Amino acid sequence: MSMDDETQEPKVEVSDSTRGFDYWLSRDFVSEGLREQLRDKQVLLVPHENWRNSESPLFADGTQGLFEFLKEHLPNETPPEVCIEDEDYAEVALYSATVALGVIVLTAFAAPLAVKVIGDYITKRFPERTRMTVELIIEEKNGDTKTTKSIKYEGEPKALEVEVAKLLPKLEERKPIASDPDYPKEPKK
Amino acid sequence: MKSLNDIRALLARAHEEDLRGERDSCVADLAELKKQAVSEGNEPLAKSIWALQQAVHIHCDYRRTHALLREGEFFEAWCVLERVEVALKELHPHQDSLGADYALPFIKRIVDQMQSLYPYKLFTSPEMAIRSELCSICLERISIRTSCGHVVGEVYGGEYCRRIVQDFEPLGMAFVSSPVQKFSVPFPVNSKTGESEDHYDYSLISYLIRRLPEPFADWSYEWTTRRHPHEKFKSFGPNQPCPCRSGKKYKKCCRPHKEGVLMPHIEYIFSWLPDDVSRETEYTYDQHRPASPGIRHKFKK
Repeated sequence: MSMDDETQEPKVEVSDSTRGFDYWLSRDFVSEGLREQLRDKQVLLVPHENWRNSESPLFADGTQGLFEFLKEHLPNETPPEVCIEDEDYAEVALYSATVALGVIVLTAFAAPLAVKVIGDYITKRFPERTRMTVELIIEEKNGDTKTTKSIKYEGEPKALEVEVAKLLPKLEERKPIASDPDYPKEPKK
Repeated sequence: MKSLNDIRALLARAHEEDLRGERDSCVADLAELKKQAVSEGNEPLAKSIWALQQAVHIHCDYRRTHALLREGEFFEAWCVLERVEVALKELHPHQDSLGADYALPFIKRIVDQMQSLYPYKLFTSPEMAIRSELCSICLERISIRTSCGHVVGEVYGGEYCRRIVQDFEPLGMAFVSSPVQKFSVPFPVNSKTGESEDHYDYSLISYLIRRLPEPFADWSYEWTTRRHPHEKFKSFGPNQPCPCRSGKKYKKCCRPHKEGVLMPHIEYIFSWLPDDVSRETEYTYDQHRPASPGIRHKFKK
């Protein structure tokens, strides 16, 4: 037993989100050309905005490595993309033992496999790290309605897939986001 | 010039014979052999030579930490321990290229153990925006969508692939308990002299290093708790906070326990008998620092 041993229970926080695919494609750092490139993508790595008042968007440390890994391990139908122009790409380095993966926007269809691959990425590339954080923004469309949920996860990388899998069926709720003016207050029948 | 087999033989004995005197010549000879392997296009051999270079550095730095600890240079020893830890991590995925373990698993375990005996709990951690990086192998600028093909952590042409930061912007500084940069230990500065002061309690690591006969003597430890007699805590009144640091009053916490105050207690397990200890298990306790953990050592025959 070490004096530093701690029980590392995962922390999972679920909330409604307005930062789905449409939000990110409409950012001012996304050009028209890039918007076309990102349209219909189902796995999108997105930056932090206003991190420590930084004027430009900053991606999580190691996003490039994660992006390469996702490209290699996700099926051709759901290739990943990055929401930034090549020349504007920058990362925020925190030098902490917790692997902070930033924010990833996913469709409900791509989420189960993508989450597994994300967990594999950390256990393979950072085998000695026991703690990770990630925010998954999962969007599901059902006809004209769209549900977007944010899942913030903090915990062991090996528990990510299991913890998120518990939540994925709940995203089938068809209630629209009440604050979004583009959607009807009641789901269409 | 030493051959690869000469250097492998030196590494095979490095747990018994100090390699530090041969360090520079080993590293220079390996560099020359690696250059030859690269020019012949022999990637596996170049990687194997890189692994041997790492092993030489690890052994030499490991012995150096013990020397520094004996001299009381605790922070400098901590920094060298981190260098050993990083070199071991970089080498680990490529361990097969070494051909033998050269006592590296032992070194890794002991380094982890030694680090855990240090009193450092908080570290400073810089937060930076990295705007431009180069690949250390091909020196191409890293582009998010176009990979140069080199993967960080792999070995190409006998060189470890890293990123070279070209352009960065500091954003802030944080205090963390689990740092990547373990050397970032905060020290207070004396406002009168302007000099940094080392106020940390190194008693655990100091106790160990005074009894270690040599760097490859095996040892381990266990944390437990023990009750220490109340007479050791005469300066604590019944209404004062309990010396066990529970936050409760002494009279409501450990005072009712006749065995004494519950304190963290470390048991060292040595594979030899330290000179200053009898065959009976000895209990030691620092009377002048009642908040310090007690130390007891036991032996494995």
